[in-house]
Amino acid sequence: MTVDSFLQAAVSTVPQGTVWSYGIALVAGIMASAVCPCTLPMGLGMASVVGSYETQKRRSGMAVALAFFFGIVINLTVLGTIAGKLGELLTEAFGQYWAIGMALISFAAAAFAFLGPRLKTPQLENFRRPGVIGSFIYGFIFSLGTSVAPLFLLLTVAAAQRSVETGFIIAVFFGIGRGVPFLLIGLFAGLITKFAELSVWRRTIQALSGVSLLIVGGYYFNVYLSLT
Amino acid sequence: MNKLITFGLFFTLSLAIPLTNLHAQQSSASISNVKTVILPIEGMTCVSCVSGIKKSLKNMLGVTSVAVDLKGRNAKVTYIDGLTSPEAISKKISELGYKVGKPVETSK
Repeated sequence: MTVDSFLQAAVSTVPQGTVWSYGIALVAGIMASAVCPCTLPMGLGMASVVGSYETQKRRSGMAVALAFFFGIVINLTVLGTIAGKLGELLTEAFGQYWAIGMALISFAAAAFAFLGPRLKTPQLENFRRPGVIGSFIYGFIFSLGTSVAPLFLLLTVAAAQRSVETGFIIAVFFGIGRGVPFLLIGLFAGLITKFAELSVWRRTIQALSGVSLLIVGGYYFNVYLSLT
Repeated sequence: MNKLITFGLFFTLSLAIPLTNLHAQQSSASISNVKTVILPIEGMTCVSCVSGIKKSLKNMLGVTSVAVDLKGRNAKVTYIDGLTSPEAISKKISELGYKVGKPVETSK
């Protein structure tokens, strides 16, 4: 069963505006994460960023994972309320800009993963805040290119464009469903990294994070090339 | 000498004209073989899906251009009939994990 057929079957059988319809939006978000080809590379990227931050400062990985999660939820909530404009985000031209943007952000995160441990403390302090904000932006931009199509279909099938309020609530639940897998991946990666007490492991995690982010950057660059 | 040059010119022209016609016929045959089809696709969620389908179809022998519409959930494929077919294109998309609807032939 595809996400499309699930949405069409589920939404048509459930009355709009009920708790069930919001549950469907939540499941649709999780399903979109399960079938989307971007989930695997992005999950790897997410775990790498969290691991990279956790080795530098305890509990910062959790903040980074939460920031990424809220980036997804807030973006999709905003998009749900402006449902009529969603179509503009589904063009190939927009996809090209999005893919190159994701590649650049991933490469920048890789650079930080490699260079982070070598920075002196005052410099690291300056980088800490943008780390959380950067992760929020990462989640925000990520959901622009990967979650709009199922959300658009969900709103179209539910005919929610007519009601801004319903569109808003559906988008919130869809966003939570879309973001939860990444939040879990991030929290798990943070937990694993927490046990890496020895400096030799920290360095290994840092190097693995950097390499993983380079792979993620390469993946999105390849997506960009395929669209040009 | 002049006769030889005149003969040479006529000979070259007599060869060139049929060759030009043959080339024109081949071009028109190729053009008449170029077809465009729209295939509805279910299951695309993101730009990566668009990129994957596009890349895969572009590599098919006989496919000349591909445009994937995420909003309309379809792909518009131009191909050379004889080298490939809508069935083969549908099969390729299905192999990628998407559900393909009935192809609709279109005039560009």
